[in-house]
Formats: sequence, C-alpha cells, structure tokens
Amino acid sequence: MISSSPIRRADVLWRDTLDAVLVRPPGGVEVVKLAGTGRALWAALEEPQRFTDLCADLGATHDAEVSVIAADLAPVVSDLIARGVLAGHDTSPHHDD
Amino acid sequence: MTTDGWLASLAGHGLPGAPPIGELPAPVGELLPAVSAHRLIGVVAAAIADGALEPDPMSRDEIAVAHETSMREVLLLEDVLLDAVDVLGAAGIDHRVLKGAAIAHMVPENPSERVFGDNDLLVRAADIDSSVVALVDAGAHRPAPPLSASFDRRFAKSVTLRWRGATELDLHRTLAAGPYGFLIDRAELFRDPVEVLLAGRAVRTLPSDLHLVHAAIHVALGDVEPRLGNVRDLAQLALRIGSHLDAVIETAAGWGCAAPLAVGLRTTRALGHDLSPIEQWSHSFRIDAVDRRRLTAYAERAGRFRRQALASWRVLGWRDRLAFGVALLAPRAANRSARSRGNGPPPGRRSG
Repeated sequence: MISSSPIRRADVLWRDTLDAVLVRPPGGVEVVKLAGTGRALWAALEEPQRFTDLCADLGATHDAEVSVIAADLAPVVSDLIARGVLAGHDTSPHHDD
Repeated sequence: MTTDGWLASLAGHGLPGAPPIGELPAPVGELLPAVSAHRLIGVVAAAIADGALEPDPMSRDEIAVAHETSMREVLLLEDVLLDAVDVLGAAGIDHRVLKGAAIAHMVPENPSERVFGDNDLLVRAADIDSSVVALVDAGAHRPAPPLSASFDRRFAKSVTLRWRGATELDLHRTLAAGPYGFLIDRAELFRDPVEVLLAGRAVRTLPSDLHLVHAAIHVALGDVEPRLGNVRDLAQLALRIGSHLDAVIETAAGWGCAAPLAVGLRTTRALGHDLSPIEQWSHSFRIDAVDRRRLTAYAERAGRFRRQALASWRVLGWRDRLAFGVALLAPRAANRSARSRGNGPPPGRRSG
C-alpha cells in the first residue's frame, strides 16, 4: 500500500544537515533521519506529487528504471507515512492515476 | 590566521563585503569546542554547503556529526517551545518568542544555520506568576524559588524553568539584567508582533527592529565576552533594517538604551563586513557619563551582580528601592539554601 500523492507533513519540525534531513514528527520522541534517497524524497515532496510522477522524476535524476525506483520507494513512503513524516492517502499502486 | 581571526571571519560569512573564510587554522577537533561555544557550528555547515569552506573528508565528517547533534538539540527545543506556547495560549497569556528560536526562522536563509541552546519567551510582568504556575502544572520544574513573593513580577529579568530532558526555558519579564532592564519600556515589546512558522504553526515574536535592539542589548550587556553567533545575528538584523535606522534609534533612546544599542552594534566591526547605516551610526555615538557609569555594572565578571544590583537600585522609584533591597538582602531561607547549592540566581538578575 502506497500513497497516491504523498507530501511532507506540515506539522513536523525539521532541519537540513550536511548529509541528511532530520525530521521530528508531532508527539514523537524519535527524530527520523533521512539520508540518501530519503533526503531526495523529502526535497521532492515540498509539494504533493503523484507517486508515479515522483518515481519518474527520481528515476530521471538517478538514471534508473522507474519500475526499480517505484519498487524501492513504495515501502519507504509507506514507512514515512506510518512514522508521521509524510502525509498521504494510502491506495494501491493501480489506483495511482 | 589565528583561531580568533578565523572564528570572526566565520561569523561574517555571507555578509556583504566580508572577507573569505580562511582554511581551518587548527585540527577540527581543536576548533569545535570554540565553534560550539560561539554557536557557529551551523555557519560552518552552511559554509561547507555553499563551497566557502572545503575541509578534508575526515574534518568534514567531524563537522557533520557536530552539526547533526546540534540540530537534534534544536529540534527538541522547538518541540518544547511549542508545548510551552500551547500552555500559555491555553491560559490566555500573551507571549513573544525571543532570540534563537525566532531568529533562526526570521534571519538566515536556512534555519539550520542558527544554533541555540535554550528557549526564551517574553510575557508581561503581570502574567509572569501565572505563566510559571501554568508551565509548572504542565510539567516544568523551577530549580529555585523566587527571592520574594513579588520579585518575579517586579524585578526579575527572567525566571528559569527546566522541562523535558532538562531543556532550559527562560520566561522573560524584560530583556536585560541590571539598570537597563528596568529602563526598557516592556509594553512596547508587545507592539507589532510578527509571526514565524514552527511546524506549520504561527508563533508570535518581535518585529525585526525590536529584535535588533534586543540583540544589541544582549551583546552589550549579556556575557562579558559576547558569543560571535550573537554578533552575527546583530549584523544580519542591522542589514535587514538597512536605511530605516532612525526609528530603531528613537526606540532605544526613548527607553534610555541608546548606549547599549551602540555598544552592541560596535562589536560587529570584528566581522570585517561592510557596515550598514546603523552600524556606522554606532561608531559616531557618544556615550555620556551616566551611561558610562551604568555600563560599568556589566563589565568584568568579578562583582558584576553586586554592581548591577546597585546600579538597578539607582534607577528604581523609592517604593521599589525598598522592596528590591529587602528582597536582595533578606532572601527566604529556602532560597538561600537553593543558592548555596548553586541553583539560585545571582542577585537582581534572574529569579529561579
């Protein structure tokens, strides 16, 4: 299950570091560290994006197959939604139009 | 380049006309304590990010770890700040966020550049007792009791509370210890609030001109040797004010605080940048005998608090002088005990 249009949650506290983004979700005691792809994901989700568009953008940036990016990204997005970092409605990929 | 010179060039990074940051003058492990003490680790990270500083990979890694540690602390502080703002809001207490948390979101391009080590909130003197009660009821801890029943609302610069992981929350009645703290028009501090967004929520803070006056007063009257991070704040705020300096000077002069405004602003020359109009004004300002005497109350560490108490006593009205003197000379036994444990405030400075 992944989000059709994930976006950064507006109610998180966050900061850039040299190699990552640190996000403190509301009511959380744990800071989530987004490095590598997670950092690129955070940068890309300042505005909501359809998951397919997001994968296409990141695929172009990293010169990778969209299907590979989608397979890698889907669990990451779901996890970050569960941890309160991203917002989005969970839908099946085939509903992602 | 000396370490002090390098730190000054770091503090001036990005300011118009500032000299380039030189190479690290010592191993990064030796520099980091001073960088942290001056609250400049965020500027180091910013300088690396924009290519102005190119340390070797190992040094870069050490800096990245130090910056990340500071950012984690800042995120905790902001989380606590939002809780405090909620508590005060629920109690109907008007407040303003001061210093680091507000400056970080108003002044630098990226808030990750500004590191801070505590939270500062301003409330009206009439609300300070109820603010302390509300925050303590919500879980904050006051390490030391007030010097007298009315001391906080009449004389304290601020009340220090600790909350969640011992983070420090200073609840301010005014902006400075000593005589200048009593001269500041505290009602004016609540004019023209500006909102900054924290976690998508608007919190109220001072407008830029009052932040500038506060930053200058803090640099001039706070630590005997000001942090370069605070001097950088001041230079950046002066830059924002630009040619609109007259209103700022009038505000400070109206309080009797033009001298600390000028003294604070003069410190920015050490950063080597092109001085803004109000920084130039500070170098032409002449300090009169009254202010010279008042300013000596803030110089040198030894005897500082006794001198501040004495200088404060001179600017108070007769009724307040009596209460102030009694509070300082005959503190409650419990407070004496707290002070003897090292928890209490220096006389006339902070309460609790």
